[in-house]
Amino acid sequence: MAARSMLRSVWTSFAGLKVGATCPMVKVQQRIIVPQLPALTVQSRGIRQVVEKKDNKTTTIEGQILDVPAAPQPPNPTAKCPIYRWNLQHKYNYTDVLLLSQFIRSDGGLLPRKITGLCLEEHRKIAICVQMAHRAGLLPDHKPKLPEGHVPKRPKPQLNRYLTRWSIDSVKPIYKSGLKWSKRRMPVGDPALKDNVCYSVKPLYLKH
Amino acid sequence: MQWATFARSWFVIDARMQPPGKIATMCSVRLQGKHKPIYHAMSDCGDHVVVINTKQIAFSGNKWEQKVYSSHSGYPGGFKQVTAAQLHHKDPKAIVKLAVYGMLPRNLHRRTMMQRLHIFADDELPEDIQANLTEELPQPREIPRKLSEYTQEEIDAFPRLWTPYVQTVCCQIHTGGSINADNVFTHSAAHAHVIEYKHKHRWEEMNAASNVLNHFYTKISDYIL
Repeated sequence: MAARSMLRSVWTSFAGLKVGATCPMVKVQQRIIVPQLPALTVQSRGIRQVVEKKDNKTTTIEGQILDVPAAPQPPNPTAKCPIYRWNLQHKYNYTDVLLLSQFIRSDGGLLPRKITGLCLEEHRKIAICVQMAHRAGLLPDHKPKLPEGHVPKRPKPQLNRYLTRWSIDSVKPIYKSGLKWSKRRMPVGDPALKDNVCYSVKPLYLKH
Repeated sequence: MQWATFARSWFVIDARMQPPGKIATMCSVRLQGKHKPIYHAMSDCGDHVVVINTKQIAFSGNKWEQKVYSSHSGYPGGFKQVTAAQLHHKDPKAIVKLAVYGMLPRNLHRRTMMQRLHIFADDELPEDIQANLTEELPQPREIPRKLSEYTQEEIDAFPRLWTPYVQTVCCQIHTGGSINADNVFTHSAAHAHVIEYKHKHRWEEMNAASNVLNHFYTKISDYIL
């Protein structure tokens, strides 16, 4: 990842420093917090190559920014949440796996909000969409690692499902569903995604 | 020409990853003959419908666990309530069959229309039915693509929404007590992206440079495998 390679460049830059006659002391003074740069200045930190130049007495260690093709600029750069920056507020669903996969770990869990920079509501919506995508089987490579030699006791029934709000084991069958005017409905989808853009004439039904 | 208007055609529907209710509405419309302009309830104008892959039917929501199919054998204590998952395990065709049965009109024609409905749990069809098929109906629900089905170019073409920022533990080099970034880097600090920050936290001083390098870390490395 870019972070790793950038780290490596910083590592090599410090490894190349000569602690000699010019600089007697090397001290860790403070934790330099590199803040998230406002998007107006620079979108992403470039990958730097460390170049050492030697004159007679002066040694110049420079990090030259490599020419990496710039990432496309978001249409709304002055926004805190990445989804608001790209104007995707009410436009994504559980099927948009390319979007959801950017916020998940390799074993399927969500990355923390402090790292991704999402606002609270969008973080929750993405969490719900990722849950639904997992239950629909749209993220087959993001399963948690089972310990080796683990054999399931009974084979799990492979049932196709989509828009599942509740977890599979937590739901009980509706034995008495009631009469027409007082039916116990089965929930589909999630009310958090109720404000999504609806391109069809029929509204989004959350209770079936 | 007019013989073709009254002909009984054979439709085939693939129920893979489809909700059984939507499949059943399409089936019932064609079994009654309501898709024809010459429809009349008394004139036997229904068509044959073949449903395949009913084993891979998909319910929305938690209906597999919540939907209950009840039946009574007629004998006392013969009331059975089975969840959709259990019924599907016992008989993969039953869910679609019951759905279509409930959508047909409640008259004596219903039984004959059910006889014209042919349900198969998987892809294999007997040859005589396969010979009769005329039209394949489009699937009601768009099947969403899995992440593994996207090509690498499509994944790369999708822009990255967020970039991680890094907290680094940096060493400061003293030259006679004065902290000056320019002594170390000849170019401006903007290039190196090291911004001098006011002391916010106190950290214990590390003496050897090697210790400093060992303590390099990012928050991201815990999450990225």
